[in-house]
Amino acid sequence: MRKLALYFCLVLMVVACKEQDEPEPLAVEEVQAANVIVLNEGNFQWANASLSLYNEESRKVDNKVFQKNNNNLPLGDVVQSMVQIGDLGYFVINNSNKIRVLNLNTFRSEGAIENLNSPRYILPISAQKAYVSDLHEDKIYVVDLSSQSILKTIPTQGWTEEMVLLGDKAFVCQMDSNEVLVFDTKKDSLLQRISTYTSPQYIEVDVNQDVWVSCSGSSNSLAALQKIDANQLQVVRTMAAQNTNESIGEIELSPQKNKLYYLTEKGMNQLSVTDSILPTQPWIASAGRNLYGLSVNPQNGEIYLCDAIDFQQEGVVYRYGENGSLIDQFQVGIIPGDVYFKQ
Amino acid sequence: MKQFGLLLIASFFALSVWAQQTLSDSVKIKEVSIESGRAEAATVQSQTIDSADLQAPVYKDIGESLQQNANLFVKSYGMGSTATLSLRGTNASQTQLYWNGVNLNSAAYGSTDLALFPAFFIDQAKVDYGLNSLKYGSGGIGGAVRLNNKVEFKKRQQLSITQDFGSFGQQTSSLRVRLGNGKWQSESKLFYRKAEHDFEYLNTAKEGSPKERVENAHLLQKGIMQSIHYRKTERSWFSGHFWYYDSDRNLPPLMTGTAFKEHQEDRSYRALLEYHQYYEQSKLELKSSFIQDEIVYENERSSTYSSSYLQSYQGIADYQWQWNPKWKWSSRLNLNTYQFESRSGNSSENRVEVSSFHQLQFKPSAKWKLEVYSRQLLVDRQNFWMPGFTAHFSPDSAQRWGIAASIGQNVKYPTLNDLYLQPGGNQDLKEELSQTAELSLSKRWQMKRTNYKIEAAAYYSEIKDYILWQPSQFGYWQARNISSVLTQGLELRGSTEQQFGKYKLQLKGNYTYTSAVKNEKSYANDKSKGKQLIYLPEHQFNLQAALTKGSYRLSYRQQFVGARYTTTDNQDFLPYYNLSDCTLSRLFELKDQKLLLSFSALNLFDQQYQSIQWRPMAGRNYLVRLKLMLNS
Repeated sequence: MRKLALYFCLVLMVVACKEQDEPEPLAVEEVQAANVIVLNEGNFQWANASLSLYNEESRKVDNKVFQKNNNNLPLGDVVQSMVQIGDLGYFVINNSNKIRVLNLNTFRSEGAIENLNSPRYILPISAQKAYVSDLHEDKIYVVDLSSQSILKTIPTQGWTEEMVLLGDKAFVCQMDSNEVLVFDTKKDSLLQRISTYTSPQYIEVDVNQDVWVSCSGSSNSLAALQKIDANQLQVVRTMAAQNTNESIGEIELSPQKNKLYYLTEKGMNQLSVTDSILPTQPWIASAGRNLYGLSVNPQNGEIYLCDAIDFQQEGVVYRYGENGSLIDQFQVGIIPGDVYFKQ
Repeated sequence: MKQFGLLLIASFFALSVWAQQTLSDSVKIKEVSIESGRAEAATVQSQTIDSADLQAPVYKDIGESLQQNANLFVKSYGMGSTATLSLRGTNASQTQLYWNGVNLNSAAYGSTDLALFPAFFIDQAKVDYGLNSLKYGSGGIGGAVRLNNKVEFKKRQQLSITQDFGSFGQQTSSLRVRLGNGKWQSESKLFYRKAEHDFEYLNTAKEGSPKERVENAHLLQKGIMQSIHYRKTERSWFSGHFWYYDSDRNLPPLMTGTAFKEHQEDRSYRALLEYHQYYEQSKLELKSSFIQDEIVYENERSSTYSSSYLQSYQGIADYQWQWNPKWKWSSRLNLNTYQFESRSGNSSENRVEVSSFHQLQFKPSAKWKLEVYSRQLLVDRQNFWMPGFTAHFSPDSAQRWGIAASIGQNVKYPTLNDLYLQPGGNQDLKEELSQTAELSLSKRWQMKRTNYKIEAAAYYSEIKDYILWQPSQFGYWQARNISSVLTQGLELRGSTEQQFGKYKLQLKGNYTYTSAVKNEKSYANDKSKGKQLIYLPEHQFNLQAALTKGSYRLSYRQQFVGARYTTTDNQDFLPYYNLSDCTLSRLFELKDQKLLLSFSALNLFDQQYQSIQWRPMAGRNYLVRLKLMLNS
């Protein structure tokens, strides 16, 4: 009986005592050779965000790159977006209340812009200055990039999302009030408020210098793509979904900026910036995937689609040619939300 | 409507049987003949944990004592933070919690927070594993935990005062007064706890793993319970209970974040009236209760303020009739109404549930006992049927051995939030249906001067249309029936007691193996099929040892919790942890006065661990308890 109990305890110790392995850091050459960065958001309040690197040429993937190159530290809670300025990447970590600054050649930390509330996107205005939108604040932060500090804030009316810069104007999606706000970036002041459909979230500038905004809609209002004339500062075209079951997610433009891609729950659609109605069938169908992120490589026009699966396991990124043919697919981190291409 | 009629007829039948019985002449009977037959001693599907085990100084709430003493898992977000119960691989809303028979699970959220239940208020906990929970209500797919207050009619005047001082500003004071005679009993309980929970930990989420202190973790809880019992006759009594509990907690940030004000208040008012009547061959219980739960949540960062109220009235009629030694009939009727109001969201929802349980028990011989039972639930114009069958077998007449096997099904109806929350509620949701088979075995024996007891249970269950909240295309989370989940496992419990001269050694241990895996692919790339559900350890092991000599007692406790996966594809996990506690106590006695002094060291080996990812847990800490008991 005693022997049996002893064996039982031994077996228990062996099967149950899983330990985590210390990850090996990635070599600088490897990091430099990879040209694609995948932002894996991770779950809200789980602090399991991560970054993946992909080399388009060798098709090699490395996951948890930040952890590997920073002594196994977590990246933070929900990595929402990033921009590249020179050799530095500014990674907006939404629920860690900061923007991490990483050297893109090493993925080592080069500081952080802290004391933000719930940052979503960062828009470089000049070499010195950038705007940061926020989920919970009634303001946009104006940050100083060299000192990595908040310079001042510009008042808004609630949740702000993606932003674009066109000349001296910044166009900012304001989700709560269903508006696109236009700011004078020289004076950091509000120029105009433009009403849109429900929940404007993503925004792009096309070849004609027109601004496109995607409104995700809700269970009782239609989703829509809307075009804003950047000079008149008003909506000049609206293409609404057929019914409230259809939502419109992220939008992207082709390298020539004459083609629009956008996500719906059925898949990815494409249309020309001259079209006036939305396509009814997806160009690339979801086919059982949970398409959550969309990006286009501005150098070669290749399209990247992120499958978040059940939001609680490692996602998959699909790489398509500009003609819609599948080139590659690879496993990344939890909730891949966006893909960036190093310049 | 037809089913409703059937249910009414069945219930009427039960009540009419009761009416006939009330007319019969009353003769003294022993309560035990109704409470538990001899053969029931052989079942291990229900476990009783008494107050001594529940209220040991090392447990701050009922969740911690259950985790140690029973085969279940409590998911805790840290000291004083939310703690939810999981039995047999199910989630918190598939595990039911009862107080003297009254359901405490929130009709809106489904779960209960065990951190709001200090063991001080409870005299006894019963853990009903699997199908055994059907008797008290539906929805306990994994099982149920019943928290009970007991009554004893005897002459007494007792006062006990307990004062705890612990690390991190923990102070708990409680007072219990028991007064009564053979006719009346009054029991008053007062409770007050405050804590800062500002312990130091190594923040491994930051460069260089600096030592940091937990911020924004202040806690203030107070409560009162008053029970009055009146013995009308030798065989009947009334009980009335009032329980108020008020909790005010700050919620600490993740290790990766910065502190900001996040705060939650929970207030519960619970009132219960009971009537118990024993007859010659039967027993009747009638209960009526009112519960109001109020939750206020504030988040400074997101400028969120939400407040919600949930009121419920529950009525219970329970009748058991043993018309000869071989046959016994039990019926239980539950009528529950719920009203949920979100004051901040300006929405309200109502629900009425009518449910009945009937059981026929047959003992063909001293060795066998057979039970056939069924529960029916009527809610939202739908009818659900939950049948079951159990066979008990005791091969030896002394009942040293016991074997039991059960088969049956249970239903968990979606919560009000699952159906109606805006946004995210889904009115097309189906109920969760579980089909279960279980087998249990127990043995007691004595060798030399040592008593041994071993209990084991194995189960297999399929839960269909498992409800999960997942992000939707509109950005918010939505409730969906995802797929089927298979749960299977093994539960072992053992205890022994030995006397060596003046020393008494007690050893108790339990081991739980839980496998709960998704049985289907929900998406094209889904790798979660066949994988363990997240935050559910496959292996758990608990050990308690106590050495007593005269007025001294030294006890040691070990808790091992195996790795918990944090992703559904089981690629990431939190490693196991192994905690040890030690308590030394001495009892001073002087006539009718007793003073208990104890000193405990918790997390003795200063383990740095996380129960939930990036939520710090306390290292080694200490607790002193002074308990004064006066009798007259």
